[in-house]
Amino acid sequence: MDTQALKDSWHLVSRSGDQVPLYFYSILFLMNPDVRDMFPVSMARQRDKLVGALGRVVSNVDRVEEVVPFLQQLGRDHRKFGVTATHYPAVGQALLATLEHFLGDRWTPTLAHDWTQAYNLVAQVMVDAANESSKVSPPWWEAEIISHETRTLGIAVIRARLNYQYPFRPGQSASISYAMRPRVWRFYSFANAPRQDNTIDLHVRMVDGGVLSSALVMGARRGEVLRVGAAVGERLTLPADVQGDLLMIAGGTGLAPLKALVEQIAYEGPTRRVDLVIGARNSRELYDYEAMAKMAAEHPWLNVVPVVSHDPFYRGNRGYAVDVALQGWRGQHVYVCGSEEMAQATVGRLLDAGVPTEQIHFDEFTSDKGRES
Amino acid sequence: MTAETPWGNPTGERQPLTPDRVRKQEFTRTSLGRRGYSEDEVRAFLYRVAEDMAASDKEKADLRAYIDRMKQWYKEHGMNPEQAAVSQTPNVDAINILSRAQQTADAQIAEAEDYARRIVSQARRQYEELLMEAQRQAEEAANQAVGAYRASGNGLQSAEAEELERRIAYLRTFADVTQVQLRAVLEGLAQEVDKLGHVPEQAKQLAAGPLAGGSPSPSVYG
Ligand SMILES: Cc1cc2nc3c(=O)[nH]c(=O)nc-3n(C[C@H](O)[C@H](O)[C@H](O)COP(=O)(O)OP(=O)(O)OC[C@H]3O[C@@H](n4cnc5c(N)ncnc54)[C@H](O)[C@@H]3O)c2cc1C
Ligand code: HEM
Repeated sequence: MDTQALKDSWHLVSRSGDQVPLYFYSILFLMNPDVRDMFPVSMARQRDKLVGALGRVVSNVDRVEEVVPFLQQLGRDHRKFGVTATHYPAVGQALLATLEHFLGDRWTPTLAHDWTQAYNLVAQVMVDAANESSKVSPPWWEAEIISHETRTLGIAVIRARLNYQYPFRPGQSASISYAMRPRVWRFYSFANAPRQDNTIDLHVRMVDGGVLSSALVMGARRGEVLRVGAAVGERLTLPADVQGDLLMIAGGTGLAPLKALVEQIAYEGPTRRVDLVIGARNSRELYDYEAMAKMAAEHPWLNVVPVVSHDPFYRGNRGYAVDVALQGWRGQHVYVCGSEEMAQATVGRLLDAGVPTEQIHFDEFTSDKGRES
Repeated sequence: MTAETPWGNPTGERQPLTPDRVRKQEFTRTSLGRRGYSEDEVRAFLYRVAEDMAASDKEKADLRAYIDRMKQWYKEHGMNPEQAAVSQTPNVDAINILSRAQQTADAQIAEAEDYARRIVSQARRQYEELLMEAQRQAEEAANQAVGAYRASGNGLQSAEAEELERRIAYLRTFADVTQVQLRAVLEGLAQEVDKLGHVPEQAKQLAAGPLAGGSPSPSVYG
């Protein structure tokens, strides 16, 4: 298989920008009208997600060994869209037709053969993982909302009980959908370590005009049911090789996965000290401070520091969380989570201050900038 | 995808601009509030640019469809212009019609979402300002109340009683200032959020048009 030819041809095709996914989806939906319903109404944001990922992953098939765990996770996660093994050939066909269309004369039988093989390889990994997981878990879980607290304008803490045992690790997230906004899936981080009673906590901030977050914060009620996809994400988990004390910096609802880590450490027995700096724009957005302060009172190894950036009436620490955090950095690993803006700025400041890259663990709550690039 | 996706874009590669990226482009604010361009004008311009890009995408698609038709014609007349066999893909016009319908639906949704986003953030700003003002007035009232309490100097003064006076004055003023206005803002906000849910449903008919096999209004493809 000539992987360089795959890469070159994908590179060429992607220069046509938006036209590529437009063509891809049109072909896909015309040939398989039944799959249209899996996708949201507006495709603008989705366009370069699936197609972009398809092109990149398939054309990088020479590195497939490295990405197997990722593809497996992707395959498992795709079950929540209702994707089954029978859909993969359709997507492959649409991909090939798209390549052919945009490559014109450069689409040779050899190239077609290589793309087919590469796609099949990738699809096989995803399908196998999906099949494997279908033996032990449902395509999505249903979670009944058992409490919904609006903590301040635009931030809600939701507790929901899953209908089956749900495997996840602190620091992970899952994509979630809500019947009021059908076919819209967005990632939310679990704000707790796994519990016996199968409940999960979500901290949701309403993005102004955001489709799902607005509905979850302003609309969702006790008794309603969320759909939850398989748990994903490794960036903020606590691997065995991260030893010693931790410094955590949360921005807004970026607190959620960090709170989950704190709970994990509490359950596993603390062998380390944790400094958690919680940043918010104003004191009202310190929406979970009470709970965190209570944990800190119970656990001598935990230190929680709230910092507020834009509130002239706030009497505590004023400024940016990262500045307060840096005063306490003594070589610990640093965990950062928040909006894209906050995470980027924070990581930049950490690097400037000399925190080594490999000691910074971060994730961003991006909504639509491709996470795969 | 939430896990790090292990295959990056080739470094230094510029992502092609798309109508959606243009619409959603944000600009950093100038540090002096008054400098810079009118946000509405910039936004309107971005929408124009996005329209133009979509139109040019459509034109390119039309041209490619034309070429495909030519090839088909040659093939049907035994004059195969190329070695590669033409594969069995759906009719090019169908593809184009569907693409355009999708673009129309996307543009309408984007516009509606943008509108909602601005209304909601305006309401939120109003709420924050109201709250801030209420806090300011309440602090002031609390200070005055403490001043008055001290001035009353009846010999029985205690720190607790003073603090109580302060808090009562604070809360009373705060409640007075916020009660009516805040509720109005919040109600407005809830209404806007409600509307958000209905937008996609309207646009759905657009996107579903050609697939549903109905006879959608010609303006959709215009
Ligand atoms: C791994 C991961 C974990 C996450 N965990 C959480 C969590 O625990 N809690 C949480 O609250 N969120 C979390 N998020 C974010 C969440 O997934 C959604 O992106 C967020 O809730 C917005 O979704 P939405 O459907 O409401 O908005 P969308 O409808 O997707 O987007 C909002 C609209 O506003 C626009 N928009 C959004 N932000 C901006 C901006 N800054 N400037 C201009 N336009 C903008 C978008 O382009 C879009 O048009 C997480 C995200 C990821 C990737
Ligand atoms: C090699 C094969 C495939 C790859 C690499 C791939 C990759 C991706 C990626 C990276 C996403 C974005 C994930 C997210 O943000 O949650 C996605 C979304 C999606 N994919 Fe796939 N995919 C593949 C096959 C398929 C197939 C066969 C289908 C079935 C028709 C499918 C349907 C979807 C749907 C419905 C979405 C969500 C769209 C949305 O929520 O807007 N995918 N895919």
